[in-house]
Amino acid sequence: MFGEPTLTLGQTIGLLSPELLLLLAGLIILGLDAISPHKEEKAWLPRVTLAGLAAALVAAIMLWGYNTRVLAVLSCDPFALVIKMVALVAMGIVVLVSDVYIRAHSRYQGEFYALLLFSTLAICLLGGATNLIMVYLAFEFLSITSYILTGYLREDKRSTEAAIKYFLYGAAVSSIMLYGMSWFYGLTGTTDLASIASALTETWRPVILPSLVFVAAGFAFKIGAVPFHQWAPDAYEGAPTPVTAFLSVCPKIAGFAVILRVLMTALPPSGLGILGGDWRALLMAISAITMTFGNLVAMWQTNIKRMLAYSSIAQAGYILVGVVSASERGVTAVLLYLLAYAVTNLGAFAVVIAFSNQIGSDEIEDYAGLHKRAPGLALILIICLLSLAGIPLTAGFIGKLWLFSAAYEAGLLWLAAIGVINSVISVSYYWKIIRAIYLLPAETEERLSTSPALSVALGLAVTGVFAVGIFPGLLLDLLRTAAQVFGG
Amino acid sequence: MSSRKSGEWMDAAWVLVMGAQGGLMIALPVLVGLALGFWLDSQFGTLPWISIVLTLVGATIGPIMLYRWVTSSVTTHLENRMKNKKQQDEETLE
Repeated sequence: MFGEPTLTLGQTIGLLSPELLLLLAGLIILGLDAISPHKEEKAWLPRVTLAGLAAALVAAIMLWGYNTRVLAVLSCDPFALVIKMVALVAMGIVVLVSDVYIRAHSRYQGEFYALLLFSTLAICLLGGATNLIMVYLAFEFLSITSYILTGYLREDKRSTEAAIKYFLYGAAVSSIMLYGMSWFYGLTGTTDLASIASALTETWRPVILPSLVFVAAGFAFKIGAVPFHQWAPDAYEGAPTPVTAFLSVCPKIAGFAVILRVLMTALPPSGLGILGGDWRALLMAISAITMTFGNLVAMWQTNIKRMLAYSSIAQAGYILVGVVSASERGVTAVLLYLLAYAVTNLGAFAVVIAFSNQIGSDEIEDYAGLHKRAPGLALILIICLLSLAGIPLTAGFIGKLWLFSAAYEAGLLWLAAIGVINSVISVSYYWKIIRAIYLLPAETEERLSTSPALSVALGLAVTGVFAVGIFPGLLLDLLRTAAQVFGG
Repeated sequence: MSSRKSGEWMDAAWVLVMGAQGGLMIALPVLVGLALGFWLDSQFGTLPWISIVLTLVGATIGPIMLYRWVTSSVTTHLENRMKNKKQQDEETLE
């Protein structure tokens, strides 16, 4: 079919092993949770989840070197495998930070961990999707699990309200994305990304503009880019904090994977202007507006979850700089920054969760004097904030350096300059938290403690921040190989 | 039980109507912007610039309108549900 190599059932299962292992782990958790007594503490749930994620990670590593199509709609190539590895590592940290919080706030823990595994499965499918139908189905799979996770605390009005808003907004945007995909199908007669690229060369091009806008709407929603960002602050604030950590990182990994795959494969930059299907002009505008808007609004926030929500909107703008560079260096930069952003943001959220577990507040003013009550947590939060701001020796710095240098190489000096200016602006609101932690007096001297799982998550995040920041060379060959999938 | 079931159906219908209206809210401004842009471009011989600008204006207005509408509708819907539930509880007690 479609002129692809015929794979045996065993080969197909082998190539889909990361996805199948995640599915199996999710089903095992649902089954064991259903038959185990309700009152049991179920400490085994995060362990089984982590085992599932680790098994899928090992499977993804073992598949390194393959570059083949599976079932006509998926690809097992270095790009898909890097996306899977980043998503699996990020989800591992999410599981570690969720343990205490979910035990304290919900009776339905099995479903929570199963949903996390199914979300990871959706991201893995998106990483390798080479067909618009597969892209849409996996997108919806990820969206539906995200809506449920956002409204997971059914008794909490804010959580429910955030989930309904997120769901309605997402459903409308999803319908528009599907509408745009149907236009592409109407134009080309195919949903296969590579076939769309060849068919579009013989098609009347101006019709591509609205199709592109509709499909881009779905992508922009997933990564939280302006003007489809409005759901993010409300969903982040209302969702359980571990879910906020998940929402701030995982859908972005999936969104950028799909943006790169769809745009670089189906719509390679043609240089014919936006009406000819050159999406770079559209994304340049979105990138500049997104990073500026996110940073400016973040400055006025007093709630740390809301502030990190706007910060994550700004981060999506930075990452788009690498996408519009549309080069091997640009794709490498996007992958590097996604990894840097994942470990950094999850590290920051791990501290927020540790704080929230004991103090029950997400207000920045309540962080006053944290360095006396929990010096370790204070230091880790500061390291993560400095990395988000792009200070040298951290992962954020190396990521931004690669993104902006890719833009410079692509002749987009003005966009790189806007990125640098925005990085400087972002220091002002990260400073607000650092000031509260170190310069404002604490209301009480009571010490804060962290659970072992949370400590492991914090350790992993900080190690990641410095490992990527100081030794990026260890990863760059891997990421360059992934970027070469799109042929530069 | 039957009133609960009819409430669930009402919720499902409400979500369907919201989804359909929401989709139109994003699509229409884009298509109107594009059509108007093409017409203006053909009048002034400026293709594609006015089309691009008006399509992007439409693409920006749509999600802003959608979010405002979703926020107000959800708040009203949740308030109405609370009111109905309270009323039902009072009737059951009587």
